[in-house]
Amino acid sequence: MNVVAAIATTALRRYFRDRSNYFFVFLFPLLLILVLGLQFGGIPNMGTVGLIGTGTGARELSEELEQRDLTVQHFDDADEARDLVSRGRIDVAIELPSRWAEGERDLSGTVRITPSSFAKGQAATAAIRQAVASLADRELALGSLVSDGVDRKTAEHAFDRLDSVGPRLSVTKAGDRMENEFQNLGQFDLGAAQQLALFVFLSALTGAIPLIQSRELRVTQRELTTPISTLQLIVGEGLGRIAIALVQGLYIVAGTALLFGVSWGDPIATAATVTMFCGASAGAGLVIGALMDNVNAAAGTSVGVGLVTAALGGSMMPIEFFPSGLLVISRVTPHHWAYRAFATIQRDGGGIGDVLGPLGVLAAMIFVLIPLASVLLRRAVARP
Amino acid sequence: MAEDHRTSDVAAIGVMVAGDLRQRIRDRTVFIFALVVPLALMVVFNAVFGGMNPEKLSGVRVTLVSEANDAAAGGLAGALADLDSMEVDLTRLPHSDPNAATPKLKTAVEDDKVDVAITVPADFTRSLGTGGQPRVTVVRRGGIEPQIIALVVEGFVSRAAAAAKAASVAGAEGLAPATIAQVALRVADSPPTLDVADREAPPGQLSTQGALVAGQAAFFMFFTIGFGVVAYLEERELGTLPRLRSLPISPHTVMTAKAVVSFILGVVATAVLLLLGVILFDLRYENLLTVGVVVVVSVAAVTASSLVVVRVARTAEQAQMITAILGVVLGILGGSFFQLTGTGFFARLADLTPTAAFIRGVGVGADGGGIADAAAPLTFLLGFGAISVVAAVLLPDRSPAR
Repeated sequence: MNVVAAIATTALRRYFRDRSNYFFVFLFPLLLILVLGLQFGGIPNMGTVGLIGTGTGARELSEELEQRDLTVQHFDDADEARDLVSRGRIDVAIELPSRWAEGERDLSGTVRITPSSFAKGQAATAAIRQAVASLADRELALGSLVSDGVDRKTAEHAFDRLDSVGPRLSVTKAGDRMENEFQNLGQFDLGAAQQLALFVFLSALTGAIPLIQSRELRVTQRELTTPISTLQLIVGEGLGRIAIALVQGLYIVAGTALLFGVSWGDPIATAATVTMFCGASAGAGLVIGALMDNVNAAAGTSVGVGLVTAALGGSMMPIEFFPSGLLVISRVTPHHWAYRAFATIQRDGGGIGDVLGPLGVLAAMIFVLIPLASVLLRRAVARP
Repeated sequence: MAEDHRTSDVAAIGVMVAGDLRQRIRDRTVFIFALVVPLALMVVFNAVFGGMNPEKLSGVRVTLVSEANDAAAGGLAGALADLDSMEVDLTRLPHSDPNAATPKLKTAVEDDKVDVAITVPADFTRSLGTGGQPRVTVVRRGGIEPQIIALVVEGFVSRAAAAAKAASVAGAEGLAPATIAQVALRVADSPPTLDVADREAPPGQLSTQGALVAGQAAFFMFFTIGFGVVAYLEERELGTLPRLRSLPISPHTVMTAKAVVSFILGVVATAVLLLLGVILFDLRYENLLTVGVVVVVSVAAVTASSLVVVRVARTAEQAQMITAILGVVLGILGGSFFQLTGTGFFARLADLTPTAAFIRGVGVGADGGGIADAAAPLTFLLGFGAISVVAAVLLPDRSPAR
């Protein structure tokens, strides 16, 4: 056991002695969680529109658009707004007739809209048409009254005082499983759980590199001439990687809870999920380290495998949006099971008893990957 | 004499470039970073993100419950049928139909049999003229398409309310009953006073797959180009650099050769990845010249930035780490994985990345834009490259060998 602990401690010390690792382990995950939370956190809306002009008319329309679930950004330059549409930064650019934009009551003219070619652009356009029509309704009614001889001021006064006339509308949502799924989550909660899995796994995979370097320097071979088994060696290396992954995982949990108010739910269940996920991640890193002989090739493979499994496992897109075929493939990744465990803990207030299923799968992955790495390492050492 | 020197420099660069390229081709790492990993990511990202930003709205199933001969409800049905942005499968039911009851409609929506159920109460049109407050109810599923239908109904109710108010004011002002009805009818039936007309966006819109391919090509450009830099530092660590410098060639020849290797690897890898987009995702690059110029200028700019890395890194390992940090930060900000929207701080910051400029430039070319249309991203990339070269010249060399 002392041998295993010594190997693990050395691995941990070597990793954190290299200060360049700090960026991807500590700084970057929190930065990315911040960016993702600010950009995509919360309930998605109908789109973002760029409204050219800041006059009274533009402000009136802006309010109408916001009531229709659109985010409004104001521009002075129509070309700039249209350029952003073509770049996918905003969904629609709106240019108002100049007199209306300046606040005159004359609502004649043409509102020019530049939508993106995506569905969101078309959806935002439909919402804009309704908002413009709604603003025009009042003018239409007043115009009709004036044409029949009613004084404009009198008509305006009487019209605006009438609240309790005309039809009412009630809209309710039903069967919205997806929205219910995410309604208990804060702005940064989902992103934090997703990025924890992505970065812990990615860092653990790069743990393959020191394992290869040890063979290149023939440290591994020398270790194996002493009375320790390959399994002891791999368990020692594995524990070192698990310790590194745990430091990173728990740091992300604590950091996001403190800085962004992320609610991680039951601490025991969260700690168990992070630990089991770290174990599976370390196992995957050891398999790559035992399988490959070239440090640079292993670095490329680690980045590739890390990002691909993150995408498949729900660390880039919630698995609830996956088609059924993709969901089957997703189950092969440890990220999928960590995602499901975090979902139960964060969204449903689940405890350790509620996440035994995903934890069991992660444990099974550990018990497959560590012995597999041991076998592969023995073969790697035997290679000339 | 000086000309002879220049000739021998060019020849030396040629020999070194050929040697380095041979080494890189033998080494699997370049293939992994430049082709295998980006290709795997493109395929997986397409499977995961492909359907998230569709180019068309889906069809929507709507049930409208109303009196068959109600004029206003007929107008609403017409407005729904006239929606040109999406297909509406409209079913009309009378109030007497057993499936028209509100609980049944709600169940139908919950069971995903209908996307939106609208109920216009009986006597709706008549009650508008008498100052009544009939309630129109909408039960809808989540998602953009049902929300659009709800907005159309809202527009319809808003117009009906304006007509009812106008009639009420007309009555209060003592207009004749026939005129009152006319006022209401005019408001209800008039087209909007404001026209809404669509304009075409400037060239540059990439499809979801197009953005994905350009994003991954931009992301791995840094890693591929970084191999030239790493090779220079490895020469320094292995002790072969002083030997190369002892040859009768100018001091910058070795670095120039490494930069040329980086440039060639970058151009070839980026071009192959963009071509794979054509094969795998049926992408079209309408203006190949623009795309080609963008690729060459982007690779040149990123190669220039790698010269800065040579200056600040002490070891090959440090250079790899700095390249990885640069590539990942600029790639994520610039839109290699997701597009930052709006005009906030991070979106403004994204505009300062070569990744965003590359994606923008490829978008312009893919959409048929000429080099003049891509002037903004090209100017940025040239500026980025020029600043990098100046920085590389001005920064002190941190090489321990010196």
